[in-house]
Amino acid sequence: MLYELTKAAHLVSLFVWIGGMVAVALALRAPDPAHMKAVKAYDRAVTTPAMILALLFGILLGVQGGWFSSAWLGMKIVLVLVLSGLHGALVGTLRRTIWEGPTPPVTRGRPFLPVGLVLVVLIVLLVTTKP
Amino acid sequence: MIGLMRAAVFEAVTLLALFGVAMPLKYGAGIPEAVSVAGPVHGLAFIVFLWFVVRSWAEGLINWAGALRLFVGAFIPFGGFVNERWLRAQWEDV
Repeated sequence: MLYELTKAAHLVSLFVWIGGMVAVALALRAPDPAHMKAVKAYDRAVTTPAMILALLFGILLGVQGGWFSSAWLGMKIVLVLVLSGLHGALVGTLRRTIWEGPTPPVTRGRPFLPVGLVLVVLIVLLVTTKP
Repeated sequence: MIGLMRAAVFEAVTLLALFGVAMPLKYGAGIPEAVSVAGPVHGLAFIVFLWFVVRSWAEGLINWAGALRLFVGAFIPFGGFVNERWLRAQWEDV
């Protein structure tokens, strides 16, 4: 029961985290100062804490399930590291765009969505198939 | 920059707890549970620290060399404390 609750908390945190990353990526593709500031505040209050909670609950799941000796989890951790780095790059780019001001042509944020999608697909495949 | 400095110190503390307390308890006193707790805590601290490093690099607060210095320092005991002082000096120069 505790494992299932932890899994639910992990998934909810993950959904909020990914949703927040998409919001930042979209804000960078169509930069509007007021919108970007709102997304930055949302990221600080919701998305980044959700990322930390997703990591925390993920670690707890690994401990509870005894998964840390599994090869698939090692691969997943590497992908999660890259996904966390992608989020960091998104937020850093957003903060920089806010204080520098959007300069046309805006290309910032363009690769983030497809890269993030590929990472999420690979992570979900690893977790569901546990190769 | 303040978040990055705090993350560097937190990561350094958890690394010291892992190497200085948990591992001696596991191999010296036969208490493997110490590493089972300290290991995941350090893992979380390490990922959060890397997140701050990448964010600061993307924001332009540190350059590639600075990011690499912080990354390498995260693997060395007390490296995080040295890097925190380096970051503080950078911050005061701005």
